[in-house]
Amino acid sequence: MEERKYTTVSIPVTLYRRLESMIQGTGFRSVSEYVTYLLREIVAMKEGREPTLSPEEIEEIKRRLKALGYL
Amino acid sequence: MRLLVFALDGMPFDAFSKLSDELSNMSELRDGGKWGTLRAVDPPITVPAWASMFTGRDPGELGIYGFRHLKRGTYEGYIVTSQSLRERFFWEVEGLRSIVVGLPPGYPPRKYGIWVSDFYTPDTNRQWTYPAGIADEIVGSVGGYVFDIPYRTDKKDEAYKGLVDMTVKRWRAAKMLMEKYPWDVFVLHEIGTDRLHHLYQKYFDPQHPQYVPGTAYEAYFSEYYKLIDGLIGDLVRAAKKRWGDHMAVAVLSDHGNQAQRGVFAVNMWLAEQGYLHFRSEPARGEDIERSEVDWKRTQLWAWGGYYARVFVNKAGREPQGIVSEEEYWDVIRDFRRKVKALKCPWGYVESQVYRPQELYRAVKGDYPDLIVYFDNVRVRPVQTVGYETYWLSENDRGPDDSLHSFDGIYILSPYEPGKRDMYAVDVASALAGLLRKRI
Repeated sequence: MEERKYTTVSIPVTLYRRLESMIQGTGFRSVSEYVTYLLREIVAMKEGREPTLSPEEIEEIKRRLKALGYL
Repeated sequence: MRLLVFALDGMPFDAFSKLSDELSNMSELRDGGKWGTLRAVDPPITVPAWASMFTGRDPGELGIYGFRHLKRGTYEGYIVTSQSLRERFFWEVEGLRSIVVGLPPGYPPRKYGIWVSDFYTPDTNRQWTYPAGIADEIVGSVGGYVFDIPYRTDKKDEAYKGLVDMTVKRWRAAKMLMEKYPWDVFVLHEIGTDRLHHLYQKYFDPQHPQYVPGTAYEAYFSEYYKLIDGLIGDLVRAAKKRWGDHMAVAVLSDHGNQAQRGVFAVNMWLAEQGYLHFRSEPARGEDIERSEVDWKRTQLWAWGGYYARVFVNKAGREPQGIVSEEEYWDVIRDFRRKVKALKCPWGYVESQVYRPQELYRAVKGDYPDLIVYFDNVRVRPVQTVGYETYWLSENDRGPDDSLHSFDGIYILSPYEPGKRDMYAVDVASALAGLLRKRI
């Protein structure tokens, strides 16, 4: 059987209504689309807090900024 | 309403004033909108300027004062990257879909919407877009991507070819993303406008002390701005065709550019004034960070750049600090007085000395003790040492024709037409307001 791509998350109806009014005039077509987008961004932001630059990369950036004359 | 932002690094207000008759697309936006001088943040430098403009937080609130910081309580510096920015951009706060191309500090790629990193990026072999797959799409459709060009060079012809190639590739990439993916806010940052001034200011600016009139380089000024203007027109038309006319457009710069009047070896001057001492004679052109500073006798030392960051070697704070709490204010007062009396080879100049607390609404992070602009940023302070004099004939990091100024430009369209100057920190609220407008 093919794995499901979507599942249901329950949110309070009042929150749903607020989100509905927030997307008026934007390009979002539904509250689901907007909520998926927001959650994805929040998760990505949280993941992004982990340090991802190695000391070697920092040195490379330093060299680059120095070559550009910023340092 | 959608918002299309053209973030033109270092474009001075007077470049638009001089060329507006030739820049038909920008002039059309101006005629249907609000425009004027955009007063840059302090310091007027790419990092933190764009971050301040799009978060609405001043550099002190962001705790970002330049491309690098000195860790307080040490003599060690570190680099500011995209990860140093903890505040959210206004489109992130509003939960809008965004595509951002090249906005500094932009590496590693920010994980929100679609993000293409900036000139910090070491090379295209590492992840330079978010999501990662966007990179292949750009390279596939544009045939390559260029983050920046070597601009501190004497090879001026070669540099211009590189400048145009970089710009055309970036705007093609932007057009592909803009047409393919949905967005509410699209930000396209172009570093080329800043590089144009650093490369060629002395060939088109009679204010430059080494002004060279009548060369072939003179034409690059209008030629490049016309290229940018044409690309703006093309992108606006393509965006409206794809997504409809319900669209606002902003043209912004983070600071201006002006002729460099001189180069000042600030640490040599501090040494002459008795604030800074060395344990051994530094080699000519040696970086202060590599010099054998005699910390037991040093009260003040500095970093250079477009502005000087002056650090007090404070007892109880720095590992070998000597300036006591009581002496601290006397040293600062004395330093201010001496800067005021500083004489350049061409006469007295007006310089500004600020404590960060005097410039910002809050002061976070690793802030310097003092921020100094020499001759209203027309004199470049350099931090290298070992010179016979503190006035140098040229920049220590290679040829450079311009320095930054506070007078950038902005155009917001559609808006009630008129010229009104604006402060860079107010950009975020102005753009968020524009997005909410119904037209």
